[in-house]
Amino acid sequence: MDDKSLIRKFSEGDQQAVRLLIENNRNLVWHIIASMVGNSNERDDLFQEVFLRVVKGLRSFREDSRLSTWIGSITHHVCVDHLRKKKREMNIYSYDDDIKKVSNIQTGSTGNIAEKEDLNRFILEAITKLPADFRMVITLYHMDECSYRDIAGITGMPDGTVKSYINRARTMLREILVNRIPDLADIRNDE
Amino acid sequence: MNPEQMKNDELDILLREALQSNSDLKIKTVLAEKTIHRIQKVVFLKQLLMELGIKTGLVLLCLAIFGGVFVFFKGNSLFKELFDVLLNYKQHVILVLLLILVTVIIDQVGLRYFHSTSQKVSATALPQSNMLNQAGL
Repeated sequence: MDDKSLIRKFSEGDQQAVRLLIENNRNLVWHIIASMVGNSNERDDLFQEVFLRVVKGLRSFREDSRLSTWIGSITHHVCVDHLRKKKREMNIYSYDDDIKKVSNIQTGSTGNIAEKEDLNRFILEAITKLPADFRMVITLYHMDECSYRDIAGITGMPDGTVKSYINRARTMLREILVNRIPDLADIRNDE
Repeated sequence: MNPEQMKNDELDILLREALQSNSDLKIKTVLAEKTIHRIQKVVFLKQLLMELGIKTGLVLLCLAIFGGVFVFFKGNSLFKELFDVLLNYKQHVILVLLLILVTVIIDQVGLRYFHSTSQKVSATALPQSNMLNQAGL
């Protein structure tokens, strides 16, 4: 079902359209929230808050972007508002449970990380060290396969800034990974 | 593909695999279902209130048309008498109007809402809106 039909059915009060709307966009919304907000209880509340706002504002959706981009943009605003209210720096967020596991990995050592699981944990740790905007952009780009334009629509940044953030995030991650894991030196960008 | 692009691609694969392994980025099914039910309730309530608004508007419109036609043919002397009576018994009139309003809200919104939401809300559990049928038009 395309966006237009979905919105029309939703406006008519079709319960199946409500379900579709949430199921189609739940991962995107969750990824944005999870990359910006650390507390898991707050995340649950924000997730519901986002869809309540979507329901309220759906009539004002002008179809100059995709519905998912518009919902993503609402999610971003909800998270920013929430963080402002909490007077919390976005940078202090860490992926809750995983960071606890990750913190058990001794940083600074240059030993080989053979296990794939450990490598993933280490990469996640490296991602959590990125600035919040970089982290969100990287998450949307890789997890939701959003284009630069989609991410720009969601975050309100210009397309060029999104591209620059992704490149800078890649460079930072590459440095962290290569310094820590010499085996990965072949992905070093010699630019 | 140039070497740097390939390097970026390799890094992207590593990043994607790591992010996909992150349990924190997987939404809980319970939360999604809870949200769907909550939003379905909100949408249903909005729908009921909208229907009530439309029905109330239609009734008022019919009364206004009826009154207008009556005044056109009979003059407004009868209405003056009617307003005098209503003003003399304004407390009773307000009470009766409030009772009608509460009864209509309970019947058209409250009962339908609680009847639907007390059952397990599913894609087909909630009745679809059919304003014309509901209004008996």
